[in-house]
Amino acid sequence: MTRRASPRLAVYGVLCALGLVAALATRRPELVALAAPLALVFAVAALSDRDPRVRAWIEVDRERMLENEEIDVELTFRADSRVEQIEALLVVPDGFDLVEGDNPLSLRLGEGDDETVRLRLRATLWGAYALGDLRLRARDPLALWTREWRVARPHHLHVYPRPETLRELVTPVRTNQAIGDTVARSKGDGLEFADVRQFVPGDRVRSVNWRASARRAELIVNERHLERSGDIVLFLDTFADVRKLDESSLDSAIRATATLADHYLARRDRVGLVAFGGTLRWLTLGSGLRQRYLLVEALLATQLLFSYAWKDIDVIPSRTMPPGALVIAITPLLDPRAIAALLDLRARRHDLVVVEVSPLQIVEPGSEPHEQLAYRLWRLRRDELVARLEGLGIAVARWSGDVPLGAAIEEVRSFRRHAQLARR
Amino acid sequence: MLATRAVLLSTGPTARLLVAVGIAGLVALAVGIAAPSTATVGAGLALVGGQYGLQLVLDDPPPDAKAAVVAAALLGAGELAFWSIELRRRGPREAGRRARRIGFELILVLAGLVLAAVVLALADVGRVGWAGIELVGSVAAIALLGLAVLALRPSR
Repeated sequence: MTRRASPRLAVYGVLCALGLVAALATRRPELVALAAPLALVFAVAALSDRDPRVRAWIEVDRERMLENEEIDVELTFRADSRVEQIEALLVVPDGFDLVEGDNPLSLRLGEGDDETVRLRLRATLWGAYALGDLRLRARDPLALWTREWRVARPHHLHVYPRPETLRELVTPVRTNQAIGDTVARSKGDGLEFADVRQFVPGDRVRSVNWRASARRAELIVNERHLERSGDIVLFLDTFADVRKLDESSLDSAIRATATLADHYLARRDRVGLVAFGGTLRWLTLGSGLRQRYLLVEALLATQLLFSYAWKDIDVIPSRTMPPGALVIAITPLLDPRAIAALLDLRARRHDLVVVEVSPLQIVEPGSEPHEQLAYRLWRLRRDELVARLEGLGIAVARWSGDVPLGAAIEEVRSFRRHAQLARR
Repeated sequence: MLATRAVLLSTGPTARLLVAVGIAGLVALAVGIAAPSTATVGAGLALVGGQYGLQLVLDDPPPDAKAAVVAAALLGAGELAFWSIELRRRGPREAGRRARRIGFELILVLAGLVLAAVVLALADVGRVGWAGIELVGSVAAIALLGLAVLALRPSR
């Protein structure tokens, strides 16, 4: 607790001393009378110089929420001694807005008083935050003393990116043996019709296609696709971020990653994460609710760290990217290291899809002719890069935050359908 | 008000000097509040108080019973000036806080008035010839020094 005297105490002290010295010099008692009320202020200050005994608590109604959701924060103050005026400021982290209540606030507490103040905050941006830094300032009735102290009651808030609506997902070419919702290319017991074939001993009677059997005068059975789970690796490029006011390519990329992870995990696929940037972070493949939480926590910890060190995919542990896994790269296609990694992944026969988080909405061409020329050249180079990736068989979908992610995914699905046709 | 009072009451060649000191005090107070600067407000209070002291010295009137009122007015002016500086600072507003502060300030000024009157009365007793007044003065001086040390001790 820090204690500060009002600046007027020093002024009154000097004036009081001057008055008394002048009284002695001139032998005028009126000057002593002039100084006496100022000395009285010192007496009052000495009497009111006591540390306030105030305790404070911070409660939040929940610690996990989605973007744009609101939380209630309760500040409780308990005074063990009378405090004429106490000001409290809850330090609200960037990413939260105050929507209801006063912050800072001012209170008067009597001895033994309990006071609870409610604030409502809205989470405006995903991320992990610590809320609970409360700054308190107490003053005596004449504001002769100011005491300031901090109360730390940290609550760790996790704001998850609001998921986008997705109706369809990109299906991996290869599936693994575990049961899931992905229609496998292999045939067996499943739901999706695949083909018909002649009956062989051992086939179940309920597989017989009676209509086809009647037409061909022999027993024909239906074949179905298996439902299996797939391995999905979300490859998040954290090398570069294009930011303008509230818009950020990294924020959009993380929102897209969280959405894709949510939907794939709901389909019982195994999902892993590789955040490839200034620092490399990864999460090995897994499924279920636990993996969902792990993924979200990993995404919340994602941040941009600048590094000039060249990195390629050799630094990525091989178990995070098993052969046959569908790798969905979410990238603004800005950093050459990330682009080289994508090309390398493709060269290693990974099933690769690129969701380009377009920075075009954020970057402004500028007003000067040479700036506009540079902008056009930059766009041309980006188009050329996309064409090069597509030429290598990589489906590239351009997505900006203001259109649904589903549109970009549909673009990828369409490309992959056509790519399959071309192979035939 | 304090400055103009002294100017109006004084006569003769000292009037111009008192007017100058009084106006300087008022200007310093106004500038200190507008700036805002506590040092300038302090200088203004010193000049206004100094003007009264100067008038006492130059005119050498008999003991002025109204000095207690002047002292209380000086304290009141200082409190209002410093309060107005405090109000410039942004902070949360609380209903009834200003009314309470006005009440506390009034009590302080009234207590100052009483104390100044007591000091004047004691001085009058001393002038008549009571030896104990020297002792009271010494104790008051020591107490004042103690209060100043107590008030201005370093923060914890």
